[in-house]
Amino acid sequence: MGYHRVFQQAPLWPVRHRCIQGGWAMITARDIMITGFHSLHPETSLAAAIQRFKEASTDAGRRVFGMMVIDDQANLVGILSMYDILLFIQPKHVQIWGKMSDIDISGLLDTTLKKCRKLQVGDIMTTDILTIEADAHIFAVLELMNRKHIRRLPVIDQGRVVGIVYISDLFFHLVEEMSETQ
Amino acid sequence: MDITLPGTTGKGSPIFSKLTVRDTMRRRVVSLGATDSIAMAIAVLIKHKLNSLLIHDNNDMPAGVVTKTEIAGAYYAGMSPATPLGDIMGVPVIQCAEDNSLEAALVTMQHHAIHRLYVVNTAGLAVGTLAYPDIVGTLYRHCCNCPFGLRRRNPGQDVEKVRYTVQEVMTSSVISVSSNSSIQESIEQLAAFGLGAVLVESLDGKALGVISKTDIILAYKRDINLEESVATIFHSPVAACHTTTALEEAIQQMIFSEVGRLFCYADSADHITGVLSLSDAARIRSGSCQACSSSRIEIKK
Repeated sequence: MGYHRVFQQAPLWPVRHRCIQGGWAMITARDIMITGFHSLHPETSLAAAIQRFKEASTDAGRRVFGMMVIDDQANLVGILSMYDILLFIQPKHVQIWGKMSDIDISGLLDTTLKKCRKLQVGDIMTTDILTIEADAHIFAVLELMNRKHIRRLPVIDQGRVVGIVYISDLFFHLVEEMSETQ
Repeated sequence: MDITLPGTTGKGSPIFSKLTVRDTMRRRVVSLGATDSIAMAIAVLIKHKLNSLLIHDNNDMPAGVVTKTEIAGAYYAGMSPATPLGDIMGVPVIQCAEDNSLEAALVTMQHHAIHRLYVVNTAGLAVGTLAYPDIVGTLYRHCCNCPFGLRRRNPGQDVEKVRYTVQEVMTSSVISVSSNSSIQESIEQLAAFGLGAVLVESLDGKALGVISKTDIILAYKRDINLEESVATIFHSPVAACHTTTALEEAIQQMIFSEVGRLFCYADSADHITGVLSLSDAARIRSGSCQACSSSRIEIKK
């Protein structure tokens, strides 16, 4: 269930024209992607997925806000983001509480966690996802992320997920390159 | 279900005559395109905890509405979860404007027998929703602030004496299915009685769990066969309360568990004797003081 759209649009500019000091033409998504990443299974419970976010953050040495969801056939079927989880755990009637000042809302978190045990990752993951080919130029990656306002982009090679690009990595890669060229 | 407002037909309502849709609406619209799939709609409904979605056309104009009921119907009819929403959406979109009076909006809801209106701007774009719980919340706030309300009028009175209990408000008839019923049969029960959830009982009549429209659409998304037993998808424990529970505690329990109803018992939680809906409970609580009759919403089933 779910699908992904592989980004097949050519870079907006001829690669040679973007070459600065001769090095950038060679930089592709493969060069800046993270290849060691945690993923989720669509039938994993939301409670277990939340725990996985914590483990992934510890392993990666930085906070992880989204994870790819991969099925038994190694197909990328979705992405579960922090936003997906926060939307679900947001109390349904919170607007009404603001008007019911005499209602005691302590203990609500426990109730929310119980709901997370019953829900599966596949139930709320985002399936309308964008991916990019591993050989796509770094500026094609940048253009896609800017245009679609996305912070992470799965990288595909011959139909298989081979990594993920974070916009922060892309930014600091560019910072490094630009620093060296000055 | 009919929702009527006494103030709309009688002397007029001092509260509602001053309120417009703008004062009560939620400024958030969740929508999908007509070509998006039912599976995607289920994920959005679950994630956002909604009962319905607006379907927009290519110009972002409202084109239809898809509710959990329509999705359960598609499941029942054997349609693929990949089916486009345009094939099952309901039309037209019942709407109102921000500057409409709350009274007029309620009359529209009553006329179309719906619990939610989409609020559109002068260009016809949806800018928010007006749902029954939002109106109840507004009423509650007014009643709390009313100088003639019970809380202010009797500050020294024993609050327990003026509290409603569940048994005064609950409905005594309980619709249930047995644990060996199929999912298909449970959908039929939900549709026949226009309910959001039914009780699941063992063969000897003990309450085992609840099957709701949310459970049904999740089963659809998970590709579970309609012939499977409800035992594979119902949720437990039953959200229940004793019939002598104070109404405000029952409301709190419903808000906590994010359910629209509590099943009520007198002797043992295994044997359910009634159902209390959130809308019924909130209606009584909203207008319970009777100091202002116009603050009550009357629900006719």
